[in-house]
Amino acid sequence: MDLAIKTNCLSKNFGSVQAVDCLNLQVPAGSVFGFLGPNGAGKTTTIKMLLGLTRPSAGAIELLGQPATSGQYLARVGYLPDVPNFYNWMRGEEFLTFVGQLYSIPPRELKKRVAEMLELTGLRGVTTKIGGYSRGMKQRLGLAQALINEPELVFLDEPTSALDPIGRKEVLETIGIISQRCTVFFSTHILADVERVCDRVGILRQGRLILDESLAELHKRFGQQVLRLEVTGPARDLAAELQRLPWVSAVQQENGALLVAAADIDSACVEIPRLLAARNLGLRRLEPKALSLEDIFVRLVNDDEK
Amino acid sequence: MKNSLRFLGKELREILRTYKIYTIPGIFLLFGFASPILTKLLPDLMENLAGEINIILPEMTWRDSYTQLFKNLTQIGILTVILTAMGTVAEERNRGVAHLILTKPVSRTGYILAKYIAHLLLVGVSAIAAFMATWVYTRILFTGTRFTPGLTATGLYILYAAVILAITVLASSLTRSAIAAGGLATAGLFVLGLLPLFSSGLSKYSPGALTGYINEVVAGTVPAELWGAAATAVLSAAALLALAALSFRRQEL
Repeated sequence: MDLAIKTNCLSKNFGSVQAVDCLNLQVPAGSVFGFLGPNGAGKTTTIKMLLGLTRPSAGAIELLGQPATSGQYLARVGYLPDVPNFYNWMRGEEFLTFVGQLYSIPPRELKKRVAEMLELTGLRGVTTKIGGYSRGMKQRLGLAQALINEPELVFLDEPTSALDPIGRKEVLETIGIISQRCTVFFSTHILADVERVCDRVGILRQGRLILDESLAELHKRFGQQVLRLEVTGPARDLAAELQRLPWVSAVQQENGALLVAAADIDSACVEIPRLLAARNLGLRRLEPKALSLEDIFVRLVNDDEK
Repeated sequence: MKNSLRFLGKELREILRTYKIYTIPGIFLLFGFASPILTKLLPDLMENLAGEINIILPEMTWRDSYTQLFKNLTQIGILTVILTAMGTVAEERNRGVAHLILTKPVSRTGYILAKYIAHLLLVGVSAIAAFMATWVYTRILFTGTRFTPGLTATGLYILYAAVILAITVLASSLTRSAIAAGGLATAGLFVLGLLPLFSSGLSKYSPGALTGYINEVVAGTVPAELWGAAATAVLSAAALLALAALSFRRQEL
């Protein structure tokens, strides 16, 4: 598997505060990696270390197959900071042209790419100076400048956190488009955004990576542990009876159904219909419940706290 | 190297399209036009203010006109330079623009140098324009006006400003706020002014001694130590810039 990002026990401390603690990240090339964590978990610090803006206290970084110390990779990556700021006296098109020049893109090619990026981010025809842009427009310009060099890897640091629903939808749609072209490292604390655009997720808590898994595997792993059971007939006392079974860890009522958390899902699928038949109850539905990323996130963070 | 030049181009465009194009050139030109006129009118003004007291002033000459210009430029002019350049690095870092730019293939040393050179060009062109304005008006108002002493003094002034600008860029690269950078640079200016008091060597060869040599050149003498002081100024500016680049390269953004 080709890796776009690989870190080896990457750490950063500010005095006695351990901001990032022995982080071993492996981001596959071509993936959209959701880097999740509560505020203050160390997401921005990690991104800054990956981009050479902050020196790690310990550990090693490899980006696009090159050690980060070389700085050579900068021409092949793009970066959108959490609060992008620009030269307010410039116009958007002018700023993109300036950034493109820094990547030594030939003038004719650059003109084409600037037009393409303005189109992609919905800023074509905007002639006001950047100082007059709204927050959403700045975010979109930030996205455009991060992509002007056609990067192989793009870092997006909380790109939707301060946007209104429309601005957020637009930015997520753009991320969806660019994910066809490059690896996206998407830091956020908005779980719904990760579910929408990412295919892999890493969860950071207090500087430690507590999970690094594909979204599909994650849903499979956590989703299979809870069954949703709907029965016909009087189901009084059923919950208590289920609770006494050795392979059941918890039973919960939800909108007329029972959510059964089972340690052994195979036994549950055999035993539950048998139990219902013995009590003369009909089985209307028995299916694995898909947990939302939010449920999984909360559970993981709580488990980690324990 | 190419990217440093592109960045310099951006800095120059920024100067042309922001308030910076009005402050330094505006104030310098004001001094350029006003200094000869004030010098010419000074005896009459003093006489009117003195009333019945009889004040005898020597007759003002073209040298006094030049002296007035450089007095203004080395005082308020230099403070204007500090005020204009104090936020050049600190503000960009504080606003996060530096993060965005320095994740592109731009060297931090090139970033610092581009900012310094752009401001030095602004100060240099403004100082020359101010001197030309003074020269034209001095020729009209005084007899026997000579060009070369004024031009030499302008060159020395630019050297002096180059050192102050290097102090300001260093201060701006060390702090996160323009105000703090301005305070630090003003303190540097103060120290530079005090250095000549500490030893005879410093009084002759430190960059701060240049302000005295500017007056001597205008008065018609060329002290032998002038070139030593000029060389020290160039070396000091280079050392301060190297320090700014080094500290900026080591900083975490």
